[in-house]
Amino acid sequence: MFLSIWNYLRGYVTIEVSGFSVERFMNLASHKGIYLWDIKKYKSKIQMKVSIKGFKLLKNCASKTKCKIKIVEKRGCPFFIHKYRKRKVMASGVLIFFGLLYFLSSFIWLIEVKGNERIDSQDLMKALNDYGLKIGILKMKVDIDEVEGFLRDSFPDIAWTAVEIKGTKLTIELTETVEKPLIVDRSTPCNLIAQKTGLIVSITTRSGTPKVKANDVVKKGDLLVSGEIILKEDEEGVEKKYVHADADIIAKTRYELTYDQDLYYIEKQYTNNIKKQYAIKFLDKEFKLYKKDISYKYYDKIIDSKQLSLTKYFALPLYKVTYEYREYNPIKHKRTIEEAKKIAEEEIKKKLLEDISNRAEVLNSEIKYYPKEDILRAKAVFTTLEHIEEAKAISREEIDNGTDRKDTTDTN
Amino acid sequence: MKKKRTKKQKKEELVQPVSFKEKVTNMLELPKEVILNFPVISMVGNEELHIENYKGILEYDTERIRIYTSNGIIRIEGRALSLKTMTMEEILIKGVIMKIEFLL
Repeated sequence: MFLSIWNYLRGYVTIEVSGFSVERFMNLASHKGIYLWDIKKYKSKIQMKVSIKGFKLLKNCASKTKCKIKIVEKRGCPFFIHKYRKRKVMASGVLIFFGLLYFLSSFIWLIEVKGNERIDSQDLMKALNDYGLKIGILKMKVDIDEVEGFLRDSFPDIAWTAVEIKGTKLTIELTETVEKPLIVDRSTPCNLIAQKTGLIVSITTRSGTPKVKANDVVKKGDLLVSGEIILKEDEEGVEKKYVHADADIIAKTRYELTYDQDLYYIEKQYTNNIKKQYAIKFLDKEFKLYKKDISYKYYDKIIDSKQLSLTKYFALPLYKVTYEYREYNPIKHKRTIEEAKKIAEEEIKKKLLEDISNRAEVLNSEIKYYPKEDILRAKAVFTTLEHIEEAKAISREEIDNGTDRKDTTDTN
Repeated sequence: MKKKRTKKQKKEELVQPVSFKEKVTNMLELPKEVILNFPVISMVGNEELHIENYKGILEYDTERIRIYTSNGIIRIEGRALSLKTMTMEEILIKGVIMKIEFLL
């Protein structure tokens, strides 16, 4: 197998030898070191194969043994090249092909991210893009260590990452850090402020000075519990201490939501008419293979883009894009008020859950419906009980100011 | 004396003359194919025959091949015999081999 490939590359000649003593001719040839193979007898003549180099030496043997040599067949690369030596365009085509193959394989045509769960692939890609690593970059320009460093620096959630270039594909494998639970730092002094506007129902203070009491109405951003504790207050001055305020403050809050529900909706009744169009995308340019006019009045357009690759690791900068057009007949339906009300209620509740924290308790809900020409407007008022406190650190300046005041009172 | 000589001659006729070189190789258990240039013959089934250390081919036909070696002539008979390779020191015969004969 391998020998025959080697022989083909070197080139060989099949010859037909006839004469009085072909055996003598063969002996002489092999003694001269000429390699002969596939010696077969056809009628009275003997056929054999010999390399091009050996064939030139054979002439001498033939004249000595008085044998006649006839070439039957010439095979192999050297003959092939000789045959096509004048075809310059073909030769240049072969050269261009290999050149292009080499040229194109020196770029990165595909970036793949593996192992990310919390980090969005698109964010990662965008960051890489801004960093300079994008599709179509020269492989030479990519410093793997630097990219790894960049990823670790810019995404604190990445614990470990490995960048690998295989063929024209760049693979980023990463492991994310284990999510840290949010630990409230108890040592930094802070105030509690209101997160939402509401009526305070109950307040339980564990540390700090409460500034509000039950049945007070607070606005968003109001101070609820101060981290400032006055220890002693007399003629000498005020002695203060700053603590990490901690309290449970439950307040009644009110939410007003409106939602418009269309009474009409369109049902798509697909006719089985589908038209497909193909296109090839190179980098950002798209070439449609053949144009078709879409005569449908109403249709869905489905775009499917697929990257072409020679092997698993040799992705090409080409995308095959398929456009699929599906025709449908729009049918207008009208909902009854009851149906619309049901949908509106569900939608409003969904919206409410987005707004309130999951610890909240809905006390009262009231939904009013106002039917209009082609919409149903739903207005809802919810009253909920929820925690509204939010920690806000007391800045170093404030603490300093506080102590300053104490100092001044001291001097007085 | 005459009688003795004849006896010795008879002995020599029966046993092949052993050269000094052969005696040494026998004594030292040296490989005979290297020192004495004996042919090494190996076969794969009855389809392939491989002969090393041959001196030349005397006859080639599809039914009969005669090869000259230092051990004498080897005659191979069979059907559709062909020489797969032929170099200075080895020869590979392919075909259906039916008979191998040493002609001394």
